Amino acid sequence: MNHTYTLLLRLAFLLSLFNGSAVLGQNTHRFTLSGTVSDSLTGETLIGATVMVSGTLNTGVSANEYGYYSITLPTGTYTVQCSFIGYRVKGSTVQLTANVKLDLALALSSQVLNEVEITAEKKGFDLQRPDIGAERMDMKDVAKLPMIFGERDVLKAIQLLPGVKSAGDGQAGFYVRGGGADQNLVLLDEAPVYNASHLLGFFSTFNANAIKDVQLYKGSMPAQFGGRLASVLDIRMKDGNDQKLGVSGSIGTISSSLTVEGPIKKNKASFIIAARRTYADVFLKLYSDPGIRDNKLYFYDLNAKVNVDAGPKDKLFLSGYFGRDVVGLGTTLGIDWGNATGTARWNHIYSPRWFSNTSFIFSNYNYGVAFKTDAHDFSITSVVRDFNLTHELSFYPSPGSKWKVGFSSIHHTITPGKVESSGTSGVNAFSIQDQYTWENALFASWDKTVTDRLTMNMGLRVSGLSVLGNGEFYTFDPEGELTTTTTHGNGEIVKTYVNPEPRVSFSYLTSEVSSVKGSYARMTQNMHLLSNSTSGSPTDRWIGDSNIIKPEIGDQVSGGYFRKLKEGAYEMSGEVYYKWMQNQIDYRNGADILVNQYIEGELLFGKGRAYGLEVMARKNTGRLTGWIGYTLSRTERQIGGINNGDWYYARQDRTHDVSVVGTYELNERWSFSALWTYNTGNAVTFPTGKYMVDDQVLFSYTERNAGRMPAYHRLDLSATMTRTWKKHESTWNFSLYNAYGRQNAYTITFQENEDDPNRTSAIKTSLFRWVPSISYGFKF
Amino acid sequence: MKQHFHILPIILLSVAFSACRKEITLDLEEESNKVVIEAIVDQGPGPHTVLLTRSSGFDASNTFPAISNATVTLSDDLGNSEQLTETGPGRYTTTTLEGGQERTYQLNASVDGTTYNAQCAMPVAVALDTLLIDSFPSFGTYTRIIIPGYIDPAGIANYYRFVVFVNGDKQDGVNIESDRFTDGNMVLQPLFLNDVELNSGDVVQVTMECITSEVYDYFFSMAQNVDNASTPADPVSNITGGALGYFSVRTSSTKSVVVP
Repeated sequence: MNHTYTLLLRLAFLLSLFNGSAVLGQNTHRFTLSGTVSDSLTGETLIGATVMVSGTLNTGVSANEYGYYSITLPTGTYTVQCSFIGYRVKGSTVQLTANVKLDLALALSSQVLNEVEITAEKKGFDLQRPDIGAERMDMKDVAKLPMIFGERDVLKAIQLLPGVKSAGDGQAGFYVRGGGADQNLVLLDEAPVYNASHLLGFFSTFNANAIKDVQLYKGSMPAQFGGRLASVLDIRMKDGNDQKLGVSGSIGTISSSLTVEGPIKKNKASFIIAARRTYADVFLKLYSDPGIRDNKLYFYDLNAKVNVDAGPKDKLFLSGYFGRDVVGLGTTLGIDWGNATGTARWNHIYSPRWFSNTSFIFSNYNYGVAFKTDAHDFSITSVVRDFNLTHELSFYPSPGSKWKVGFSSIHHTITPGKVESSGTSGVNAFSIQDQYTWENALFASWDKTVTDRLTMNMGLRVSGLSVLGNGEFYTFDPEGELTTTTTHGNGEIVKTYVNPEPRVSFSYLTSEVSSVKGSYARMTQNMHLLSNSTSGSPTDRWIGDSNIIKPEIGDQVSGGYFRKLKEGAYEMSGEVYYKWMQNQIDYRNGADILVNQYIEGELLFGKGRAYGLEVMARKNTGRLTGWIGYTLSRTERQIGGINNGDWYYARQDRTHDVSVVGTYELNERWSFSALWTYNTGNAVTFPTGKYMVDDQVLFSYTERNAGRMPAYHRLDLSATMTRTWKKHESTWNFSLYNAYGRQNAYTITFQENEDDPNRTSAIKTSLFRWVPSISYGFKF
Repeated sequence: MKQHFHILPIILLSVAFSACRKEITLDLEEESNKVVIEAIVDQGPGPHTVLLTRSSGFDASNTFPAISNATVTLSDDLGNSEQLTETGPGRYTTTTLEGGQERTYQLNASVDGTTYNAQCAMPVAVALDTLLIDSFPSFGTYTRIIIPGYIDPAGIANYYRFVVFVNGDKQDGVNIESDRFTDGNMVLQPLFLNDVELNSGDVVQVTMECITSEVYDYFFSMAQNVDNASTPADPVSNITGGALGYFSVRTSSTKSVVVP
């Protein structure tokens, strides 16, 4: 392992020499311009800000995830222009006769709509970047969208992008390009979040007030990311205002949140704490009846982060998230679940051209179910716990060349199920052995401007997964009956899977205003979610690779055409993708996945394929902004033992998917938004007949997922009023979810007809019609 | 055990949102005329019954066509065998074959030239010891639950199925239990009824059946469909040949109680 890593480093070094010498032939001296781009008022670093230089050489670079940029240029005088969405362009002149450190603080562009300023922003996609399938969500745009229950929700906003689909009405869960809900890598400050939703999926675990940046990769995943097949959702928390103390918050129909941030030492260290809690259950306390009063239903979460400037070359970050859902039915039944994550990071600048980050990451997801009656008193708990060490080294040898190399090592522990019981209970204490896996990856990626028109990214990730003891490992016959049991000792390697994952992407400028992009990426996945519920349940079970479960492998090719119109005021894109998936997991009919130690005997393995076309048209400037997105797609699975081994539609297969999003800025104070979505219904299994057994009418089924739920569509409206004073700002958001009251089907069930017990009826359950909400936000 | 978890979505949905339910018309593909076999051998002299019917289309009425003139044979591992006689439409019964402990039974049914086979062994008999009615507060009222009690034999896998009658009406739903978490214990098993609320004076009768692991799997997968799993499928049957239904060799014990 070490050897390969050294080799990669050497290779990087050699390539840098090669790169450098090519330029050295023409210029005797080269120096590096580097620094951090941040917001002038809050000190928040600006991820992805563009730094353009003109002079002896005209080129540019963008700031990395920590706001750092580095560009090495021949001696000379340069004009530097730094820009970022929603900020005034900052210009500066630099005499480059030595390495120069230039920190750039950008000022927010004023709220007044100024035509000149808007055109200077050049908002929109970067034609030259080989980043097909990557989308960045602007938190300011999210704030203006209609909300459900008055909650600003990042996960619901990304569902409006082409290729991203909602898991269901009001759900925060999402599917990307035919992948399952568990095939999205959701990262909060680099820590994986295993269950990204609250209250059965109706809310995301991300408090919008604490989030700075949201980046979604659905196609060309950079080599530093791995571990899930379908997408990477990289969410970065705010660092905290290092200039002055600020308090902001929101009061919604369902929950309230409060955020405090400020300097610990001005310009040197800052903190942010954001807390959120729902309060529907508070009203239950008003009832005198204990049958109502003693029920519980709430969630809360807490985000906290500290960052410290430890000298000119070092920066430390400490961030954490803690969230919990609690549901209780009197004293009889209690269920609670939640995530806790922690990240400690150290940015170190070895030299202006070498930037490194080392992260130590912790992630924990657990649930507990407690059941207590006179007869029974027991609890079930389940835990997924990760420890992760990651090191990344970025190298900026010359303009148009950037290297990133690094490694990641994750230790996973899964406690699948542990039953604890009081002495008087009829239930025995019982525990399934913990499952240990060790996931390692080495990666290198190279961004290279090949010609004026062609930019490429070439990457390789080598991932390895070792299944570790201790405990019993099983094999099963084709019918799922246990055949052999072997025992392995503590820490013993039972099985290792190694997968090279090449990633290539390019962008070719076909004109000043258009480009063609393409990519190929292989992804693997070593953690899998088993679920048999329609909406996803906190008790769905995570399982790692084992002697039987192999890593899931996905190969995706995608290509697209991107075009800007009217100097970037409008942009259009069309992308196509095809994805092959191996070692996909499903389970046998009648599988019992709860606290089952022979779970692998219940599983079936097969393959999947997904392909589609995504079209997007966007208007970036003026009073009216927004986009229209359309996706045409197909997602299928083929698994031996299901559907007679024939291909069948995955549940999330939806042929058509449309989103229309528009925001109109009436004046400084008022803005209005509307969004409309339409999608073909999910592929589901409907009964094809009925029969009588045990004096009950039962249904018979033939093909898997051959039926269709009715099409889903709805319109949401919102009005946002923002008032700004010298010191503070307040925002009112009025939203109406499902404005024309469409009764979208949440589930369809089949039962005896109420009027004629001799007949059978299909009953549609719909959840949300005309849901109004008000939310008030403040900042001072 | 599994039943408890399905309460969660129901609580959440009913508390947080007022869901709307409406009958709709779906254009469903239809496949009818599948053979349905429900074959039962109880402990004792019988008569034991095999019911043969056919499935019908979704929109048809709930009277299912009986299969007459089939050849149905039951035999045991001691060499006893009997061809059943049709005593009613689709109803085939034994006259001599006895259901005995530790014996394995074979079912053969021949319908229109297709043969269906199944095998099932009589499980160890466990008696229902007590039957209690308990109540707990829930959403402003008190919900009464039925609690049968029994002593699970230690060291062997046991599977149980409970059939509930309220004032003589058989209740729909599936109540099954395995001793995976309760091996060797005195078990008090709360039962949840689908739609019926119990009132003072109601007569509750519970039959506890000891069933085999295959029959347990059948009812377990049937319950998953009833619970509206995301991918429903026909229950896992122990009958080969493609018939719906099951063959259960079982013991049963019954108790009654009046709701206080």
